[in-house]
Amino acid sequence: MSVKDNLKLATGLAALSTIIAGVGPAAAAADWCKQIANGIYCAAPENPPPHFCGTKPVSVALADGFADNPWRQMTTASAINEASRCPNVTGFTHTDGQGNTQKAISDVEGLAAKGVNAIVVFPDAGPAMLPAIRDAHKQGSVVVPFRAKVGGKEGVDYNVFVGTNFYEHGLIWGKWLVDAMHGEGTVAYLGGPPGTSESTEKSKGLHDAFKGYPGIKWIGQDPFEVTNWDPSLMAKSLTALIARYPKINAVVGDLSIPILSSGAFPRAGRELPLVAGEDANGFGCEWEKLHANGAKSDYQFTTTSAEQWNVRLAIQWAIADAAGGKVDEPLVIVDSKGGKHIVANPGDKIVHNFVMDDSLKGVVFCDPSLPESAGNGTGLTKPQLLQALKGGL
Amino acid sequence: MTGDPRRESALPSQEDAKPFLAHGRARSSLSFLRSSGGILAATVLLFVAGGFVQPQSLSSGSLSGMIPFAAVLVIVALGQTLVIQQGGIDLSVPGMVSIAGVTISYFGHAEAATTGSTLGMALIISFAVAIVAGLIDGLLVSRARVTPIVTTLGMNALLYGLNVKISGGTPVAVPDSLSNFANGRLFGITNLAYVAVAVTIAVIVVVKRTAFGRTFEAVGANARAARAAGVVAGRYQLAAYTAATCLYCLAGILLAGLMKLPSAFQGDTYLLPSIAAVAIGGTSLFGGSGNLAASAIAALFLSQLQQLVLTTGSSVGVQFLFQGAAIIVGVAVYSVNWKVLGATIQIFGGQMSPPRGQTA
Repeated sequence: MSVKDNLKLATGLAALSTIIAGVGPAAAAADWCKQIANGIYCAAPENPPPHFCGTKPVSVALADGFADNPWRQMTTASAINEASRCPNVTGFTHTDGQGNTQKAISDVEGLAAKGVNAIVVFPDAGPAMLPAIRDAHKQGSVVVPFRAKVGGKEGVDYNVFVGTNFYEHGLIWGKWLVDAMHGEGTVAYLGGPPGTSESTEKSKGLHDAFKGYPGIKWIGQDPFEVTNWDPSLMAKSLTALIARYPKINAVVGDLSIPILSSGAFPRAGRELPLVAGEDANGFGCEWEKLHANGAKSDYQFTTTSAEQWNVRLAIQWAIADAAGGKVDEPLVIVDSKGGKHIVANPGDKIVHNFVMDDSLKGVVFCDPSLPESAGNGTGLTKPQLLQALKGGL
Repeated sequence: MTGDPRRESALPSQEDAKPFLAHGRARSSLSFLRSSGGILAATVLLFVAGGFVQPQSLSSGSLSGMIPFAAVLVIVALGQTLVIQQGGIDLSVPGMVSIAGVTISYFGHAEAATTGSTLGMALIISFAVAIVAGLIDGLLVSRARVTPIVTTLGMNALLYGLNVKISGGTPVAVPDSLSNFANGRLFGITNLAYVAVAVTIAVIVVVKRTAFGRTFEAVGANARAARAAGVVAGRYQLAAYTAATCLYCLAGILLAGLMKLPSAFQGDTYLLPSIAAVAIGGTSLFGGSGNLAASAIAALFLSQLQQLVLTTGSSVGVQFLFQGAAIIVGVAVYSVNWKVLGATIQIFGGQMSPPRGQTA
């Protein structure tokens, strides 16, 4: 055979393999997933596949409003992992709106124009994203906004909205604090930017948990101290609170690890208070350090999961609607100690949180080989977590 | 050349500078009070009035929390003053302060894991990034004549790109040695306060007490005249941008040490306060003779103002109102020509008052 013939044969074989890959769903799924970080996020094959996968070949996308922080990276890794459970998924695209509403809108419209079958959107810009979401839905893509509300109507402007219950987070924290403070003490809550619905709803949960406990005094701004989730501003707010109140019994925070790491309490010569917040490795490691070798410290804490897995339910609904599947199995998250948590029952569109750390009960998560901001209840394996925290997704 | 009146008035040579410097020392304390007296008085007033309105704002807990952040802003404001003195403006402050936190934490973290808790290599890498960024800024502004806003805005984006490439947006803890230093105290005062004072004095000495510094100021006052007089003006602009990025880098490293687990975007909140400190300190935004001491005091003023408003427990809206008003008043004190304004008011007042003899 001549060189030309060899080339023809090679081209033919390549074309044939492409066709086979397109027809054989399992091979296609492996291909797209293996191309992302050498396949570290790919799920183990399941036989039979989960019910939400359906049967039709579908392409999937996650349109993020902003991607460059640890929470988003862990969320994207979770989305890839969940989509890779379906052998009929033919590709996965992730777009980063870079905090720019115009780009986020253009991303969603671009995905719809390319004919992506199932689009999960994190609409950071809120209702401003609705027209793009509606357009994508009209063009035939299945669109599932999640976590941030966009307004509009389910079934008309988009397929399904998958959310979380922020109120429940506040309620869990509040109940723990009532027990930890024996119904008496001062509590401050450090939230996000002014008016943010997440912090407002969590604050309602906290207030409801404190009802019937007149000995618990809310200090600082109500519904929350505005910190923009910025560690420096959190430190300044804490300094102001420390100056105004001779005793702070508890501090609650969305982005809670800076309550410890910013050093506001030690700088003022105060003991660390009780802390309630979201799952972060640094909390447990600090607790172990302060309580090492039987040392005594007032610092006790609780965390709920930071819900990097919320996107999994959104991916399930998007694939199910696009590929003819059904979300009729519970969503179970396994923490780094092997604990299993049902966060959504069959057919649920809203996830439920669970308690991770409770130092008063001796349940503390600390993996010294992970960064302080890493979560231990993400549902990702340790290698996946470490890879995700390197960024680049 | 010596016959050029522009040089004689604006550009003292090294020889010329000697008698000037000797004379300058004698009157330096007076000129300092004259040039920085306004902001100094305002800052003292703020502390005193704040003590009456909210006594807790002067408590040791409040001051020990405020001073470290003020020290960081002082260092950033010094850098911004150097650039503004040269008729420029530096919008790369957020990028530089942020990447300094990332390089010191990431490389320091790796270094601590392999070689103990030394910081040497991480410091070298951090300042190398700062010097390269400053040189690029300076060359683009002075040689390629790209406007400072465009140059530094672009550099800010580049630095954030590098930041995200290194960190992926994920913060990691700084080595304990840095954190212990930044949170440490000497004679009951935070170490960062000593660093800020030392850096301020060093920068003032270089700019105000050396021939290089005086020429630097003269170039800022009129770069064209400087070029016409034979001074390589670009060299001073290059020095301004490089020194500024090194100062932002130092501030970023100290802020990272203070926060222990610095956000990858820790510099985001430092751009406007740095420019506000320069403006309130009385340095003209069009360049010229800068007032470094006043910028440093203005940085302390802004930090205490923020802490005072936070301590009163005011809502966010009130916080913004106070800070905005302080900046407007501060800038107006220097920018408004009060004599002309007074004369204008008199003229209008005279026109508006009824003519004599026609009063009821």
